[in-house]
Amino acid sequence: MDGQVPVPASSTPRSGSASSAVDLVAGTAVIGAEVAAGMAGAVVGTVEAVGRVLGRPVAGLARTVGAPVGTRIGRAADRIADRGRAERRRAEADLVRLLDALVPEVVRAVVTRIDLTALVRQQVDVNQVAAEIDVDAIARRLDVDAVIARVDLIGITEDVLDRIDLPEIIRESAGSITTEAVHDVRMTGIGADEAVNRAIDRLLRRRGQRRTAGPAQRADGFVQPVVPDRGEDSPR
Amino acid sequence: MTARVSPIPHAARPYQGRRAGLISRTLAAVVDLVVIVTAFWLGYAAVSVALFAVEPRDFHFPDVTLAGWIATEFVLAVGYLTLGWSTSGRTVGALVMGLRVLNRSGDSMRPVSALLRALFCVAFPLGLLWILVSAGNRSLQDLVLRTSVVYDWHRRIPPAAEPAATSRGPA
Repeated sequence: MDGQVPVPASSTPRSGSASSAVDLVAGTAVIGAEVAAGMAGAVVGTVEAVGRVLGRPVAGLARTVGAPVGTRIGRAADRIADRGRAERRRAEADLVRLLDALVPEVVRAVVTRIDLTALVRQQVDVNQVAAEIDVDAIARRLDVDAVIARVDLIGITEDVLDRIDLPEIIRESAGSITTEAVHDVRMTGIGADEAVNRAIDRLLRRRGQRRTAGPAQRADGFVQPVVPDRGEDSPR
Repeated sequence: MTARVSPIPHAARPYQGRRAGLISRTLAAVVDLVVIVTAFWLGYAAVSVALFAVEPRDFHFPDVTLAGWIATEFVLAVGYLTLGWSTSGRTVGALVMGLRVLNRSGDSMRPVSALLRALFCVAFPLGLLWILVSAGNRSLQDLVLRTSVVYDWHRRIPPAAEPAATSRGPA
């Protein structure tokens, strides 16, 4: 933002001059009060000295007349100081009200005139800020139990168990030597079948894959055939 | 969702439901042959023991002619294969090799069809060699009776799909 901050014309000069005047008045009042108090003290001292010279009756007369005069001057100085203090406080209150009204407007005007995101990207090392974030502390503050309490663990478990044939898996994978031997024999048979098929296909110069997918209903059980049959083959 | 977890080893899964080749089926047939021959001689032993129990003094082992032996084996084989194919779709040999015989619908064969196939197989076992010629791993018996011998390592036939999903229009 290039322009100057708009400041209400009516408030600042008045407040500035008022502040100076207040300070001036307050200072004058305080100095005046101090001078008056000094003068009163001097007067009292002088009267007392004259009294001492002139004798007790005169001194008594001076005390009777001088003390009330000094007291009166001191009170006047206090009133002037109070006046100055009150004026200063009023000026401070004016200043606070002015800032309350002015600062939000200035900030709003600044924010609307600049790209704050770009400014942050340009001026702030976000990675460093992120690196200083203690994720573990945040994680420690997480109420994991509450999260888990909102998850239907029983339902999920039942769903999983419904979709797997656990007894069958246990039976099939019960790692007996017999089962492993049978699996080996079967896999060997499959490998031999494949080898024979390849040899025959080469011998007969047969192109393309064999159509070995079984009946359709068999395919929707546990496995899907890799290449579905395209039709019944026939003796040739 | 019908996704299921298979207990079959990963290496064998791609073959499940595919028609088996010559070697697996031949090995299964050899196992079945051993079973049938063993069954015959076990029966012979049982009959001998029974005869010995009845007439210990005049006991002698029953005479077995070649024709009688072959005829008995033929009957035993047909009965054995019919029973296996019409029930679980597999014989002992098929169980060992992880094979199953299915009809064109993917189910076990009906008894009559199984009997016909057993007769055909026992009478003309060389029909198995048609697998080499067939591009779909079918024997001559499979072609005639529209059956399939597939790799199937599961203990039972997997349950059929939902009725609504498998319903078909008129053929």
